[in-house]
Amino acid sequence: MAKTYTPIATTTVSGTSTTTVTFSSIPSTYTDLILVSNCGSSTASDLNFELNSNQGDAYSWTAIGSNGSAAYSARYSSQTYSGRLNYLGYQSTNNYSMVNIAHFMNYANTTTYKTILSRSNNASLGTDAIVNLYRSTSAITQIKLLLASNWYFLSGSTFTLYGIKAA
Amino acid sequence: MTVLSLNTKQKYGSLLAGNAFYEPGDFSSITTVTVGSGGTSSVTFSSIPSTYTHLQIRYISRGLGSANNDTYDIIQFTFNGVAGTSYAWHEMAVDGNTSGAVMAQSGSSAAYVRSWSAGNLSVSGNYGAGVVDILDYANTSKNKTIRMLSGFDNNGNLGGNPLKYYRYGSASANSGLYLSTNAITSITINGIGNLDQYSSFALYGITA
Repeated sequence: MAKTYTPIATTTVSGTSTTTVTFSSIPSTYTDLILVSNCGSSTASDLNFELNSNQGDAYSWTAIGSNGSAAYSARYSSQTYSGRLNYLGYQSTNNYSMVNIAHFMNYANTTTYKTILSRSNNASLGTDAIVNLYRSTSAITQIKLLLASNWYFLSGSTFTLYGIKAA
Repeated sequence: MTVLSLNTKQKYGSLLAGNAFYEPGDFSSITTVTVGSGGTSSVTFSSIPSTYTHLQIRYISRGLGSANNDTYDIIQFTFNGVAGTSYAWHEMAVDGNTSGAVMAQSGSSAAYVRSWSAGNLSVSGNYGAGVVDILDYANTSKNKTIRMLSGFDNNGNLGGNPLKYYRYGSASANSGLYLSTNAITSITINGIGNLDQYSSFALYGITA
């Protein structure tokens, strides 16, 4: 059986000026991509993603989460610029990083739209799960991560992209 | 050091003796089924080796035809060909119809464990997805526990029939129980109706 779950690229943020992290030229040789993020934001923000530089209204998502006292759900359609990897587990200026694992399913498929499953945990603020739909049949070759209003990622934030290849 | 191949009688300078390097994988692909034209009623993984610690199924799927006839589909997993009442599940999911509502559902003495996906009335090209972990699947002392993350989003569209309780989308975290201490050697996957073309189910083995 073929070993898989291969690291493709990793980034560690330094300084106070990194507002985006981009994985580009992603090879189409895998079946799924898994993005593991452990990051913080200079100002409270969700973690957003833009695919293939597409800033059209191709993004929509459905979210479920809890802030420790109540459970919530939310839904957003035809969103421009980006999808979202967390909803209720906001990042913040405190020292509690947000840990997120996102699955870009069948990302290189050129027949179907793309579904992205995401789970986030923030020890201070809550936990959530989001299903994103990216309405494009193009293979995903670039993932750009960004925060709201050009806030910057805190120094030490890490992002690692893995590839999984099905037999 | 010289190594002599027993097959070819050829001498090598490596213990590999001409064979490719083999590194046992921590996360290995076992097999994949992609549904072909016309769809299918079910997908089965059989003769699953017991050499891993855990299994993971990663899928995209879409329901097909009048038996589904909704914006969502329920993906049903059964093991070792066992039907009946050997399963239980709990589910925390987005209602997807009523704004802000969260569903907490469960099934006991159930016929399967379940996760979510897109149905045949979802927008064209929309396939839901799921990641399903089957823990200690080969252990013969434990009942089997399954955990799932799954769902779909339909970009704000309902299916059309106002009499039905269609859903705009759902994100779901599920747990499942298979009440058997037998090692899992086969997995059968169904939807409410048939599974549409391009639905794809990939089985992986994870070694501790």
